[in-house]
Formats: sequence, structure tokens, C-alpha cells
Amino acid sequence: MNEQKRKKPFYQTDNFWGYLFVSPLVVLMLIFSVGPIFFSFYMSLTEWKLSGVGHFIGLKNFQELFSDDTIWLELKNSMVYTVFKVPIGVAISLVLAYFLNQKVPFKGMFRVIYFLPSITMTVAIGLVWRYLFNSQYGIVNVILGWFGITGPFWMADPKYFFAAIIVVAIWQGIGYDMIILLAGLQNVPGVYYEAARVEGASPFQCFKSITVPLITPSLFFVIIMEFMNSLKVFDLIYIFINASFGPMEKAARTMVYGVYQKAFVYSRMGYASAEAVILFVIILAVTLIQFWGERRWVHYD
Amino acid sequence: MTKRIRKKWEAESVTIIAFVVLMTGLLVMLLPFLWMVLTSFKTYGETVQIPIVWFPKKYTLENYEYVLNNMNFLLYYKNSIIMVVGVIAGQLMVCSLSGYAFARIPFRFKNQLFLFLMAVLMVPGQMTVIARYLLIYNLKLSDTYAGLILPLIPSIFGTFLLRQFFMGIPGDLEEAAKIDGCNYWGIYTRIMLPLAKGGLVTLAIFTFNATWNDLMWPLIITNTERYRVLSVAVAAIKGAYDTKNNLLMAAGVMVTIPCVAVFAVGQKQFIEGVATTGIKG
Repeated sequence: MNEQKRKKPFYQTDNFWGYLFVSPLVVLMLIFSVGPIFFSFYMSLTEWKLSGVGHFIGLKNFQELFSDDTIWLELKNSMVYTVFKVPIGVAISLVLAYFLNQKVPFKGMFRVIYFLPSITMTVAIGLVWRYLFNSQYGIVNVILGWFGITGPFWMADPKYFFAAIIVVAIWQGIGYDMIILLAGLQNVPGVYYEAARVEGASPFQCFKSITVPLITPSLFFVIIMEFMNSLKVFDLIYIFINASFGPMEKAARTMVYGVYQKAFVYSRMGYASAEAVILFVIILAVTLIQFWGERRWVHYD
Repeated sequence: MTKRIRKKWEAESVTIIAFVVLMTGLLVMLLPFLWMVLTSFKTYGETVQIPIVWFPKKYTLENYEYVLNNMNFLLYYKNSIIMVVGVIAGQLMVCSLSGYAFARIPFRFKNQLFLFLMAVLMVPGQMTVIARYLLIYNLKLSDTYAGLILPLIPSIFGTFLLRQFFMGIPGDLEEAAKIDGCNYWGIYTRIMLPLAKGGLVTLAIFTFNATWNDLMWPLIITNTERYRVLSVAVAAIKGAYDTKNNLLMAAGVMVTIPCVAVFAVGQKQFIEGVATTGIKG
């Protein structure tokens, strides 16, 4: 005791300064993130309106949720969205990153312009693309017409409506993924390619046997990130659906949209929390599966 | 000999294919933006003409005037700017302090705390948004700037990002300052912050982008027009002016310009920041 005191008063110790410096973050986090995590689980077991305090009803919310058609619809839509958006988006990004890593001119310009959609407000992007997909005045069908294709009624046919949303999501996301994959590609030592060239490998063989295996860490990161973001998609769905009900809403509503609607349109906080918990479980499961998958196909040097 | 020619041809053809594909992609990336800008200068009549009109006959600023004056966009600009500045200022303070501590101060349970933050980072914000909303609502902070800003300040991503930057600063300076009797606060303010300027700028750009574009939080936490921000306003006018694409596109251009401007200034930090997050995984 005495000896410790003589060494250093408490306010000069590393512990004191460390805790002092992290305390603003930790306090705010406990209030706005950690607290709400536990509270969400509790709320999912209650009947909770906007004002007042909810009362405990056990698992009734989950029972109601699973007997309701909308959750199955939302699960299906979230899955369809993810299954199309992630592989197509990542594949396009990978090809673009590979091409950008060749000796092409205007590299800087390409990087900046491909990146532009990812920094633009999704709400604005939704507005523009709704207009582009308009079957009368939109240019998507005009351009399809140049190639002799009669475009569908994108915004009036539920199937094409959701497809259009996925196309926009892919368009918006590829620049970001491309930048990450490009950084991964630039870390691949050039000697590998030279060696392969000497052996007479074709560019496609190089891509398949050198590029793809060596950038699996970046690829893995991009896929995880895309998966998470796809399961959490909201802004784009919201702006496309835009408070409409009926077939378009049914075709495009995803899980986060469902949580939003139940909580903030119908003021059923407890019921919405139950769906949020299900979403959390799905995301957790996907994360665990992916970390398990990482060991199987990601090569770190 | 022929083999060498074949190889050279192959290498060149890859470059040509790459360039053609990249240029085509570039058009696909740019066309929606061009269309948005062109339409924002058109009259309503020109937006509903068939066959479609690519370029307006006369570039009119009427749509912008209408959006600014009749749709109250000046107010929404003000609110968006207040929200963004508040979140950036808060994050820079909170995240630089904690980032520095995690990078340089050997305090007890540091690693455990770090793992805990990683775990919290895995929980999607959408899952907890209802509880966070009720908290703000019951604190009587809905429809206030504080309610818009405060919950966005504790950023784990920002902490990790700045921690990386602080770890890259050489330790000699710090040791010298310690010998001179400087405490951690002195080192942080006088040595570390000035040297981590690049990191602070990168975080500010990321935060600007995320906050300016965010829809969900301001959508649920503000009800009155007084505190409405641009993203919510644009989503709202979508309903009211559904077919007036000339006005909608003008509004779209107006919310996009600040993003593009910040990106133009900080694109190097931004793209590098994105690239490094990927490498580190």
C-alpha cells in the first residue's frame, strides 16, 4: 500500500488515464448501444405501445409473428435480395477491379467515377432510378429499345419492381467493392504473373489460378460486408415503396422495412422488437457460418 | 518468335478489352447522374414528352428556385448541416480520445474492452433502433438536435480507424515527452492530435457521408418540419410531387452536390480509407 503510493498517485497511473480517455465512448455506448441491445430482447417479450410501459406477454409476439404472412414474405424478399445482389455485385466488382489493375489509362478517373454512387444519398438515387425505370418517360426502356428489346412496366409489375430495386442496389454498390478488391489485387506481387507468363499461361488462367486465390482475404471481407448490408437494406426499399400499400409493397418489403413499419407506422414496439430479434439471430448465424467458411477457403500468405 | 508475338498480342488485347469494359461501365455509372442534372433544368412539359427529350431547349433555374423557396429546402439544409457538424465534432472528440487510449495507453482490461467493442459492433443498429428511439422519446429529446446527434456520436468504427492512425505514429516522441514530465493529456493534445490530422480528416469525411445520407434515424426521431433534414425531406416530397420529375431531380441534385463536393476535396483519403479497411479485414 505504502509502496504503491510512493510510486505514483492514482491520477498519474496508466490505468487512470486509460479509463479517463475511453470513458466518453464507453458511457455513450452503454446508453445508446449496449443498453438498447438488452432492452430490445426484453421488449420482444412485451406488448409495448409508443407511450407508457409495456407489459410482459412471454413469447406471444413470436407466436403471432410466425402465424402472420408478412414475416414470411419479408424473409423471402430479404433472401431473394441477398442471393441476387451479393454474388452479382461482387462478381462485377471483381472483374472491374481486375481490369482496372491492368495497364489502362485514366485509372484515377475510373476509380472516382465508379465510386460516386456509393457516396450519393440513397434517397436521391432512388428518385433518379424510379424516373429512369418509368415505362413511359424513363430512359431504361428507351435504351433497351435501341437493342430491340421491349422493356417491361418496371414500376407497375411487382416482379420487375423488385428486380429493378436489386439492379439499383448492385449499381450503387460495385464501386465500393471494386476499390477494396483493387487494393487486394495491388498487394499481389507481380512476380507471380511473370512466372505464369513464362510458363505460357493465358490471361484467363492467370485470373483464375493466381488472382482469385490470392485476394481471397479481400474477397471474403467484401462478401461478409455485402451480406450484412443486404440483410439490413432499408433506405432504397423505403424510397421505392414510398408509403404505398398493395402489390408493390408486398413485392419489395424486406425485414428491416417490416421492423420499421411495425414499430413506427403501427406503433407496435414490442411486436416489432420480436422481428428485430429474429433479424439479429439471422445475421449472427450468417456471421458464424462465414467465419467457419473463412478457414476453408481463405488463403492468408 | 511467334510465341512472343502471341503473348504480346494477348497482353495488349487484355488491355483493350479492359478499357472498353471500363468505359462502358463508366457510362452506366454516369448516365443516371447526367440524366438527373439535365432533367433538373427542364420544364415539366419536357419531362413528359414522347419521344423523350434528352437536352432541355432552354436551361431553366425555375426548378431550383421552386425547391428552395416553396419546398423549404433552406431550412432542411440548415438542419442537415447542424446534424452533420454536431456528429462530426462529437465523434472526433470521443473517438480520438478512445482511439489514442487503445493505441498507446497500457491500461487494465484493455484487450477485454476492445473485444467487447468488437462484439457490440457486430450487432446491427437496425435491431436496436426501437429501443434507442424509446430512450430518446422518453428523455423528451425527439424533435431536437440533441436527439438527432447524440446517439450517433459513440462510433466504434471511428475508434478503430483512429486507433490505426495513432499506432502508426512513432513512439520516440511520446517517450521524450514523458521524460520531460508531460502527462497523457499533454501528449494527446500537443503531440498526437496534430500528428493524426490525416486520420481525423478521414474520419470526418466518412462521418459526413454517413450522416448526411442517413435516412432511418432522422426519419423516426423527427416529426415536425422544424427539425427535418434533407434525406427525410427528399423522401417526403417524393410522395407529394410524384410525377414532377423536374422538381424531384432538382432536389436530388441539391442534396448530392455537398456529397460530391466533400468527396472531391477528400477523395484520396476516402478511397484510401475504404481500401485499407478491406485489406485489414
